Amino acid sequence: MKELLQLLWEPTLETIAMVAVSALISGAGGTVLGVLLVATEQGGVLPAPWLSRFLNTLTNIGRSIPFIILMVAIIPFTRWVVGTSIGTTAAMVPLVVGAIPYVGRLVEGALREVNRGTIEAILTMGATPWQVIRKGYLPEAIPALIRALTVVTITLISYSAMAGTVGGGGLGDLAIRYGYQGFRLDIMVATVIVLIVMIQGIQLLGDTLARHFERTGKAGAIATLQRQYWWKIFPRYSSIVRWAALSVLLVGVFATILHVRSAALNKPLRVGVNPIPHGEILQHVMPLLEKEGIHVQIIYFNDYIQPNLALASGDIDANLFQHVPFMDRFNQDHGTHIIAVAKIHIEPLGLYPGRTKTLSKLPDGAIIAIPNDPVNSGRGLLLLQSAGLIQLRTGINTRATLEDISANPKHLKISELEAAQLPRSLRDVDMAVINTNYALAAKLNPLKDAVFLENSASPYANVLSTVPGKANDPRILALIKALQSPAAGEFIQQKYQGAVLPAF
Amino acid sequence: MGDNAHSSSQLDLREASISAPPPIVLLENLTKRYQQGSTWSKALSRISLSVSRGTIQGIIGFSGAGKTTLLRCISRLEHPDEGRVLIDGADLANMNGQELRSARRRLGVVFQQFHLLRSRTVAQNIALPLELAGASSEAIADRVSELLAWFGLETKGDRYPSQLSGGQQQRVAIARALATKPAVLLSDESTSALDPETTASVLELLRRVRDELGVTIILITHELSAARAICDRVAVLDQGAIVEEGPVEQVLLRPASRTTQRLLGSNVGLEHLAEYLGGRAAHPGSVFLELQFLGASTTSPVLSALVRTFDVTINILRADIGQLNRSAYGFLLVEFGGTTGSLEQSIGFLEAHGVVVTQIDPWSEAETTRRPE
Repeated sequence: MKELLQLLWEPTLETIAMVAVSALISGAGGTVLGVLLVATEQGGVLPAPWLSRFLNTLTNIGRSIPFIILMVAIIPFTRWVVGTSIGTTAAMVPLVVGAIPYVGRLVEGALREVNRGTIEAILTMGATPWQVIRKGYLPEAIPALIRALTVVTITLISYSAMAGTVGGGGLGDLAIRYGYQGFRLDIMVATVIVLIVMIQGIQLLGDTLARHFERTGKAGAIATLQRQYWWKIFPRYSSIVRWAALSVLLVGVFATILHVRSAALNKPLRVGVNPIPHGEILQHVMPLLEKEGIHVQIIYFNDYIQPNLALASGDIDANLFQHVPFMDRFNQDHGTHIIAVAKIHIEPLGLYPGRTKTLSKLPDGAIIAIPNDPVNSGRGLLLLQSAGLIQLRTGINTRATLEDISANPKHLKISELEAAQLPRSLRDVDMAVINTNYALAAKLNPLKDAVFLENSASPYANVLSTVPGKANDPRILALIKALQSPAAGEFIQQKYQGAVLPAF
Repeated sequence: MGDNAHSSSQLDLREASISAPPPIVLLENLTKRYQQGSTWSKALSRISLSVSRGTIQGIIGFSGAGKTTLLRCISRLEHPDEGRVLIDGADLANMNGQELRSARRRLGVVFQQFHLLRSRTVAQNIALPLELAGASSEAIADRVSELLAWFGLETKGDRYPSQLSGGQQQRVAIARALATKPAVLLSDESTSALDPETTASVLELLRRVRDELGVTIILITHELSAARAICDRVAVLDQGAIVEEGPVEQVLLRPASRTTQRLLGSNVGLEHLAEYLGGRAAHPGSVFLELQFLGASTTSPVLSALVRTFDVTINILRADIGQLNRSAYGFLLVEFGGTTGSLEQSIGFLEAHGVVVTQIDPWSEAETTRRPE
C-alpha cells in the first residue's frame, strides 16, 4: 500500500500540474480564438472576412491533427518555448497547442447561444465592439463557458495520459507503464480510481459553478453596481463556490510549484530508458551514484525513437535501451551522431509459443509475429533462420526484411507487429518473436518459456549511448562504472534469472 | 407608390401651413433594398415621416409590411440604402463609428422580447447604457435609483430578469432604454408578448413616459388596440411604403386607404363574419353596418333613440369598447333592416350624432381581407 501511494504521488502531481497549467493557458487562448471567430464573421461585431476564413482554417487544421502526432510534430516549437522537449513542462506545450482550437470551437458555440436580440439591444445603446464582447457576449455566456471549460479540463486529463511519449509522466503514463506494459493490475486500478475521483470533482465543480451563474439568485442591487469589477468577482458569490474555486486554483498552483521546484533544485544527469529491465537496472545503481553526489533523473520512454531524438537534441544526457545495430541504423536514417560508450546487458530475443507449443508441431502456414521496427524485424528473421524455419538471402545479415526470405518450406505467414504488442498477440498467432524486455513484462520466462532463444554471444548487447560531446563527462564515466559494477551484475543475474545477462 | 406620394405631399402641406417647432424625428426618403437571388426587392421605399416633440407616433401594418425593417433602419441595426434618419438633429443613417455610438444615446429602443441581460440584475441592466457611455459609478448609482423609483421597481433592483414576470421585465427594459435620457423612445412591438392586462399597464406607462418625461415615442405595432390606446398620430405601412398618415382619430375612424380598411376589418374579425353568417345573404332590404362611437356619442343612448324615431330593426353581431387616444371608443357591427328610405334616414341620424358609419359587404370583405401572398 505504501509503495502504491509513493508510486501514485509524483504522477498525480504531474497530472494536476499539466492539466491545471494547460487548462488555464488554453482556456485563455481558446477564449480569445472563440471571441475572434464570432466577432470577425460576416455580420459579427467586427466583421473581417479574410481573418475569419484564416482563423477557421487554422482551427480546423488544429482540430484534425491527432494529439500524439501533434506532440511529436511540434517538438522544435516546444523546445523553443520551454527550452526542452522532455518532461512534464514540455508536455504542457502540446497540450496547450492541441487544446486551443478545441476550446476556441467550444467558446464559439457558447457565444453563439447568446440571444442575438440581446446583442442588438446592446448595440442600440451605443456600445463599441469591444464593449459588446466584454459586457454582452462574455458575461451572458458564462454558464456555457464554464461548461465548456469543464469539458476541456476533463479532455486534457485524458490527453495528458499520452504525455509519457515525451517523458512527461503523469497518471496515464503510470497506468500504461506499470499497469499495461508491466501487468500490474493493482497500479492500473489505483490510477484509474484517482482519475475517476479527479474527473468527478471537476465535473461537480463545473456544474455547480454553471448553475450558480444561470442567475436565479439574488445580489445586492446598487451596492453591487459599485463593485462590479472583474477582480472583485469572488466576494459576490456564495462561500462554497468561492472556496471550491479557490482551492482548485491553489492545488493547481501548488502542484506546479512542487513539480518545478523538484526539477530545478538540482540539475540532474538525465538518462532515458525503457522501463524494464533498463529502468530497473538503473534504479538499482542510483544509490551508488548518489553516494558520489551524482543525481540521476530517470526519464521513461515507451518507444525506441524518442529516446534517441531526445539524446540528439540534448534534452537527455544518455540513454539505455538500444543495441548497436539499431543505433547505427538510427544514426544513418536521422543523421545523428549517437555513440555507444558501454555494453551493459544482453536481452536475448526469443521465439515464444502461442497457439502451437513446440517447433516440431508448427503446422504448414502457421502465423509467426515478429517486431515491426526495422532492426528488430531483421533480428527476428535472423532468429527464425537460426531456428531452421526459413532461409534468408546470403549476405543480408541484420538488414534482412520480409522480401529477403529465399526459402519458406512451411509457408509461414510472418506478420510484423509493434514490439510492445507482441506478448498480447500470443493468443492469436502460432508463435511470436519477442524482445526480452516485453517478454519479462508479460511474465514470460525466456529460459523456460521460449522455444528458441538467441545465444548469449549475440551482437545485440544493450549499450549506454550518449553524444560525442558528453562521452568524457565525469558523470557519464561514473554512470558507466556504476552500471558495470559487480553489484549491478549480481542484480541482473538475480533479478532476471539469467534471462538478461550482464555484458561486461 | 401613388398613395405614398399623396401622403407625403399632405405631409409637406401640413408642415408648410403650421409653423411648428422642428420635428424631433425626421425620416426622409428612407429606402432599403434586399437582394433575393438575382433580383433586388425594396423592403422600404422612400419612407418619409416627421414626428414632433412629445408625440406618440404609431406605425402600424400587417406583418411583412416592413415595420421591422423600418425599426432596424431607424435604430441603425441595418444600414439604409438611401435617405436620412434625423433623431434629435443627428442623422443616424449617415453616421459611423464613435459619432454613431454617441448619437445612439439619444434614442432608446424597447423590444418585443425585452432582451435584458440574463447575467445582470435589474439595477445592472438599467446601468448598462450608462456604463457604455462611460459614466462615473456615482452618477450611475444615482440615475439607476432614480429610474427604479420612477418605475416602481425599488424592490426589484437586485433581482435577475429570470425572476420577473413579462410585464416587469418590459418595465425594466423601458427604464433601461431611458437611462441615458434619450429624446426619443422606439418601441418595437413592446406589448405583443404580454397578456391584455399587462399590455394595458405597459401602454399606460409609455404614456406616462411621454407626459412626465417629455420623451417622444415611436410605437411600432401590429395591434390596433395598442395604437388606438395611446397614439396621437398613426402611420400605416404597406409593402414598404407609408400609405396613410394622420391623427389617430382620422386614420382609424375614417380610413382613407384600402390597407387601413383591411387592417381595421381584420382587427374586428370581419373575415369571420361571412363564416358566421353561414353563406346567408343579408335579409332583403337589410344591410351590414359598422358603427364607431367616439367621445360623447358613446355615452348617449343613440341607438334606442334611433329605433324609437325610425321604423328599423337592429341585429347586433359584434360589439367592442375601448379607448381611442384617451377618449372612450365603441364599436358595433350590426345588421340593419327597414325600408330604403328609413335606412338612409337612420344613417343620417347616426352621423348627426357623431357616429362613424361604414357600410360593409361581408362576402367581398372576406375576399379582400385575406393577405395576398
